[in-house]
Amino acid sequence: MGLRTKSSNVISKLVVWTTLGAFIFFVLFPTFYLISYVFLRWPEVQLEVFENPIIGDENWRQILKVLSFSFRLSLSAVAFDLVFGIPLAYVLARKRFPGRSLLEDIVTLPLVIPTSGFGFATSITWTTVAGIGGWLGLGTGLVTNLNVVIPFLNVPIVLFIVHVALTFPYIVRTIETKFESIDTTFEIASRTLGASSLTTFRNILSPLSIPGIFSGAVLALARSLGETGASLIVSGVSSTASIAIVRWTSEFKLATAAFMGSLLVVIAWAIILPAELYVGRRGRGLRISYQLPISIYRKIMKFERFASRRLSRLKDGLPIVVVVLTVIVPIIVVLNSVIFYWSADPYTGKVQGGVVYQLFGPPNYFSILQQATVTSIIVALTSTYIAMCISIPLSFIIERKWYGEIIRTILKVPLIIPTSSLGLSVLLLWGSSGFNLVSPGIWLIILTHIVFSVPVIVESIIASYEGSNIQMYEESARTLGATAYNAIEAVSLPLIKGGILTGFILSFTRSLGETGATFIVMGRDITVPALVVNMVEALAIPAALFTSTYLIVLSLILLVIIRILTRR
Amino acid sequence: MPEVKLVNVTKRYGEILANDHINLTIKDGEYVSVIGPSGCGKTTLIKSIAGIITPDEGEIYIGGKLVNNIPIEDRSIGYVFQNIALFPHMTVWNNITYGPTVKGMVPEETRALALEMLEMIKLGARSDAYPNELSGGTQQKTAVARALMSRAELLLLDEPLGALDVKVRAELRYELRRIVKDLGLTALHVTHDQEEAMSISDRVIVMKKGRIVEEGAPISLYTQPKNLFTANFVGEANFLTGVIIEMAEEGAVIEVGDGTRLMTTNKDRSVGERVVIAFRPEYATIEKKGGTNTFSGEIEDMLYSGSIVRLRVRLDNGELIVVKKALSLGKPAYSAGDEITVKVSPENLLVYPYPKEGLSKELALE
Repeated sequence: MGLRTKSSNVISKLVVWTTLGAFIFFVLFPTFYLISYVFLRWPEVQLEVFENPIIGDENWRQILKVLSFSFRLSLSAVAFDLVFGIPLAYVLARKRFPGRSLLEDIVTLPLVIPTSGFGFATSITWTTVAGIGGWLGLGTGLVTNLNVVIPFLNVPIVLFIVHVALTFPYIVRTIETKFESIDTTFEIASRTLGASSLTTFRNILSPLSIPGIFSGAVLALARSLGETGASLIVSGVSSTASIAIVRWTSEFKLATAAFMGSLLVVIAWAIILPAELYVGRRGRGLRISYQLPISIYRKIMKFERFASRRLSRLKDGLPIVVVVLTVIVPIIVVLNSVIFYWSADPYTGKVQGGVVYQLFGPPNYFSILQQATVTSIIVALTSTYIAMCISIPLSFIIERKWYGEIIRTILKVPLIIPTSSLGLSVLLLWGSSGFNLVSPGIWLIILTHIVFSVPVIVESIIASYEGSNIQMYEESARTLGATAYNAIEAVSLPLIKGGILTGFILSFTRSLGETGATFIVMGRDITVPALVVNMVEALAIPAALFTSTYLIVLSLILLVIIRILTRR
Repeated sequence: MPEVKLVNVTKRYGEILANDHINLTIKDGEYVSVIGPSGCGKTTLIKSIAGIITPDEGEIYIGGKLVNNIPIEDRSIGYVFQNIALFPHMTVWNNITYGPTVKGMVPEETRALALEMLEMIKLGARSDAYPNELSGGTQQKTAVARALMSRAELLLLDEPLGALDVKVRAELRYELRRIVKDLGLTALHVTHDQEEAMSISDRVIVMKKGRIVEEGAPISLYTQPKNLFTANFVGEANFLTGVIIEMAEEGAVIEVGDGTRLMTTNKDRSVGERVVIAFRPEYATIEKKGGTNTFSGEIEDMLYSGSIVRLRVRLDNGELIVVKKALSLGKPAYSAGDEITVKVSPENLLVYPYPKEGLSKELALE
């Protein structure tokens, strides 16, 4: 007995240390290497960015310009998201209507669809005659080209639309969850006291939901700042911070790219850390006390009363229009266009402009696509498998050790840092300027994908772990004579099976769709989402159409599988 | 003039009829309680009056005005919730002034009324406290004050004491009644606690499976329940089945089990009819052997609960009844295993026709 306890103790220590080692090696190092790189090679950075002998501090001015553009874009997208996302979250949380779960799925769709394919779909929807312009009979796109900007904001309109679509789910789902957690009795109480539904929303639901609204906005902001895949396709002549990192890396301006990448990481941290602290604190919500003259107050109340009655259709309808325009229409356009462009360019009649010619003719994109699919699947499977081996024991460590919370907080970082920064960090760490172990190619892609796959899987396992009272079942298994290992194998693992499966699929999907980081580390190997970017850059539009459709259909199938798995 | 009138109010949830053609009038200034087991539709009823639930059929009138299409906020009601629902992000003061504020009342007036309310619930000193800093009872009193602040004359109380401790509950009952009567309000109080309903209201309504089965003053519901369900649900009762063998001048004579005959005062039955006899455990007395209107049996066990003791008696005919006695100091007069004779006088025996669907189905709470 004593011997058994001793050896199992040694094994359990071994498991913990191996897991922690793998976590540090595969996740922690790649995430934070970029910042240390900047410190380690500061003279180089200083020379390239601030005191370039030829262009002076031009690179620094570029960084500032790109950063300010990125923030303008992200903040305005988040503001737009909030205006339309809060009413939608309210409807999803409080109303029961047919098609509600379908609407929920549609809102979630941009999280699953590979961003480059989605970006391409959006760009043809708005800027070409195959999209909305053609439907309206304009003969051109609704927006003349990708460089048309929104007045005042000075942000390209299509880029803005893509960022709204990709960040909308973060706002809606986070706020919806928050609304659902608030007892409806508070709202009913307010109504019985004479407040209209809008007044109730302003006085009761919104102050109680501030933490949720805040964290939704922060997540959306981080997502927008880090978005690369779709932006590469629709940004036109302008450049976001994430795109700049990709571009500068390819131009071998590594020090500038690394410096900006670490700036982005630090900024993302600076936004998210206080938000996490604020939201984690159990507060009473926001307390606003203001005193308005009674006459103005009465007018506000009267307007709210009017709006609650008359404008509620508008409030319910507009967000749905936004979702349809930004998510559904692009998908339909892209599916439709593939058929349209199948045999030849429908406008010029040239077969060279058809899908068939580009895929199977001299450009022979089909064999490249086949190769890319194999690469994508190998990458997704291998990185998910390795991430799984780290994540399962890591989840148990997070739940049971005192330092678990620290690991969990660190794990949030790879999820929020811009993927292009992550790619650059991995490249610098493993590549010739770091350990010099792996050069760009499929293995480096796998190493990159492991970094964000681990947090995705861990979060999903933890959600299922915390929802199923594991500790109690395991203790009862132990009282029945099971060893610690036995209890985990026979009781805990089966209980969190759902979480493990969901984590697997989420990580697989994410890996399949990742563009920003992959673009930097892929070398000569290419994945399908990166291929879309290359096709668009080579102006092989029909091939890009086909590949985007292919990606969208693939991810829709995965979404259905997720739905079936999580419904149980 | 908040008289409340319901005409054929019906609400369905799929197959289930939560409210089945409810007709009900609550007079101005009346304190009415609705009781019934869980799922009987009492909550649906009060929520329909408040406008939280929209009935499928029927009309609801408040003060003579049809309110079916009037939203909650314009019905001018005070509603008190079981889970209290004080706004957690507001102080006591902000909670109770919320109603007048959103209704656009003049601040000075609101202030005066709020001070008056705080005085009434004796909470003047704690108006800056947040709800979670108060005890459950104080929270609910604050919620009542908040409901009354909007000058509603109809107070709807949805299991208001359900979430509170037993002691606090008993204390608050009287306070509630006092407030309602002092302010001359009309009140509808929903509860599953029949004792609470009996001690607080002018009139009690008993519901079962979406229908009103009986209504009346608390005392008459207890002493003269018109049907078996009420007899069982309100208070405790013993039930014995039997057949009328004679209609004597004083009332029906009923034979229960192995030849035991009981005299009753019931006159509107006929010989040969199958009936159920009900009596309250405290109306049974323990007598010497023999005598009229008695049964003999053996004490199976004795259950003590505070001031009273319940004797469970297995009658010679095999049925089980409960006899309630006040607990006295000193050596108990009986113990388990004793043979005793139980007497119930004719006027304390209630007679009901035997229910078509059987006795246990009729008494079932679900």
